[in-house]
Amino acid sequence: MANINSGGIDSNTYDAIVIGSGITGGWAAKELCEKGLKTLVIERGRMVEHIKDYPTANLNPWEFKHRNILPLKDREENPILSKCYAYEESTAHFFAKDNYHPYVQKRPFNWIKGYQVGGKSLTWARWTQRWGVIDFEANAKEGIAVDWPIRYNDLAPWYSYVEQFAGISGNRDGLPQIPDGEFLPPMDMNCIETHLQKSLASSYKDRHLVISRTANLSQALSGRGPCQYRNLCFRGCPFGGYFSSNSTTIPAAERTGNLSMITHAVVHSVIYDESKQKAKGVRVIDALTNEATEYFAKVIFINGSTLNSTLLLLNSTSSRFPNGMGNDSNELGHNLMDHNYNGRITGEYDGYEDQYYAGRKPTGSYLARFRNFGNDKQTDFLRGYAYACNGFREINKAEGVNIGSDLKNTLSEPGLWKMALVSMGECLPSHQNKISLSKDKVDRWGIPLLEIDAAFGDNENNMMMDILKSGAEMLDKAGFKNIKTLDTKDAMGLGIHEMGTARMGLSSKTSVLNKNNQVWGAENVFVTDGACMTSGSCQNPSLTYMALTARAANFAVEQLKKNNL
Amino acid sequence: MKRREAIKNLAIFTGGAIMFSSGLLVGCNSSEVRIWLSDDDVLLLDEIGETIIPKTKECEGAKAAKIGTYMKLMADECLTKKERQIFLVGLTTIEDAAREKFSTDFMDLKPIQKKELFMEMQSQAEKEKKDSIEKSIAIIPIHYFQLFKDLTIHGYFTSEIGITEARRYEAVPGRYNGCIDYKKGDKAWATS
Repeated sequence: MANINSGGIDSNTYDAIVIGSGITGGWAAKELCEKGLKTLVIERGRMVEHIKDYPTANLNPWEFKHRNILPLKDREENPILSKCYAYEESTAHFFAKDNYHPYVQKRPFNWIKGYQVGGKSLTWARWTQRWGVIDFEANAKEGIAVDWPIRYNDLAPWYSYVEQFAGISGNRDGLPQIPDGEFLPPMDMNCIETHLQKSLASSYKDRHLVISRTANLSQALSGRGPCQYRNLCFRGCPFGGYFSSNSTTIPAAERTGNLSMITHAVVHSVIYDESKQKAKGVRVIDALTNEATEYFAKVIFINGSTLNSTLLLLNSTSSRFPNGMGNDSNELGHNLMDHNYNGRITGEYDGYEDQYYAGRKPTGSYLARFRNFGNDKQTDFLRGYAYACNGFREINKAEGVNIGSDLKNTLSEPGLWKMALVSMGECLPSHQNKISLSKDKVDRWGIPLLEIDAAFGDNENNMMMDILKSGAEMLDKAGFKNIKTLDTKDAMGLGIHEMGTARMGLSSKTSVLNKNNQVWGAENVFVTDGACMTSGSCQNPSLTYMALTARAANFAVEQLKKNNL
Repeated sequence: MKRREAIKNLAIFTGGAIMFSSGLLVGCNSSEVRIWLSDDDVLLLDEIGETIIPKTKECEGAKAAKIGTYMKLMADECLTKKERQIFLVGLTTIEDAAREKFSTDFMDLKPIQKKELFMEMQSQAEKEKKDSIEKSIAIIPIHYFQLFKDLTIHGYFTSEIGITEARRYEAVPGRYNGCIDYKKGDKAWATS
């Protein structure tokens, strides 16, 4: 850390520092700024301004040089990213490149990163089911890992709070596993989705297909949207039709006049004040010049995305915390989770030839969890799974069609209705699934490389067998034909729902964060991104991160007012 | 593309392991295999594409959609090395087959002859695929004809003509309606 440019302590001092500007950093910045705190957001990547910096947002398919297929050279240079469903010619600029940001895979793990203002909130899938009562109780009931220090009721008002601001479309379905929230009108299901919904309702008591709750605006909200049903969200939306930090929370923070932001700024470590027993600031390295600078604040929010937030804590050592900040429990870095998206079930349906759809729905249908829930009890695995379901009419099936005008005419018309199910399986927290710092390899800023050592275990693998069997059975009962199942057997990471590694808990002896997301032993440091998760549920996690962040930020402001931080 | 459609558009672009198809060995002993693609090859590829997706009374075909330029770009920049090799050998195979069957260069064949030639190749490709499935071969080899056919379909239906004339396209739909009437002959939406 040579050449520290302190710039004078006063000019580098803020009320609050937020590390990262993705889905949780944006929320932390908004809440802290709106409560009057002078807040510095530190982003490691480049600026991405809403609309202005969405270069592909209005391009037609034929306007991409490679028609949205990435060149071989790019795929070879980015073997991990190339496995990501959203990494395409139209979106490649929103993903951090493999070769520039290496990490060590002790066991195969696909780490997908978005290093820019807005982070992965630009490219997320926007599915936003609440977590249910069972999700926060499961660890305690089953004796897995440690208990969550909060319950659903602690979070419920904050779910409502973030839903109303973010704008979540959905239907009030009355399902306890995905509690209802403050929804904008739901988007339509198409006829094959409705068909499956009805079939499930008549064949089973516990199987419910609903329209996914989604952070796309079915109505205009606070000058944003409405959604134009282009389904090009991953490119950034010129209509502000979906929630991202760029479109929503960062502009709100800016409007307060309290926001400062630096970009190309990699946080090296959090500085611990041994005498005051709290953090006093952060060491930052300019990503372009490698110049180091320190910034100071009363409260620090770490929102660097799960793996980077924990990397930062691990790299923040002091006499008080020789093994990483908040690591009295030695659990820091452990209990890495993801969701298991490897299960795929498809089927074709003969019928509804006289029906179609118009517009491009930026979401799908959600088959809510039914395993180990209600009266269901499985012996082969704990927890459960949901399915992301998508019904559509096939357009590129050319098998058995003669070339020439027959082929052209066939492919110019929609084919059979098809249903595609993708699994979202809960992953148990395991101490063996862990991340740590490399002892001998560093990145281009001198920060130790992250080593990832994790894999799905027996519970996830047993669950996958049931996922495929049950999915095929449900499609069969609904009259689908040519049903196919597939376990892609991809390594962890491609769910891009990495969670855990700095879990919340009831005690500093067994967890890293307390019930308010404060770091044990450095209570003015908060971690509110996926790193904090104590278990994984099977619901998409981002909405829960948002609620936890808003809750923690408001708690931090209260404590600051009481001089408790 | 949506999250749940995690499988990419075209299997050939996934970079998975591919074995050579026996079908492409047929013509190997007669003509030299290309190591690069020329401007003349673009014209050849235009004809290959136009035979697979021709101009009809409805709208223009693959040639007008510049399918040759597109296929050359895919071969030069997007296909894996193995796919590219299948592509290059496949061109020679097509040329040799034309000479063998009609004693004429492919470029000089009548449209109906080109189609006849390709129908045979398509049958061969489908038979090989069927055999592979029956033998439970884990990785089904890519037949060169299937490669040209897939590239033509992808290239044509991502071109402006394919999107706006062969199919229906709305850049900004502005609404989603989950259920509308459909009658046979109505065009498919170009994008999902």
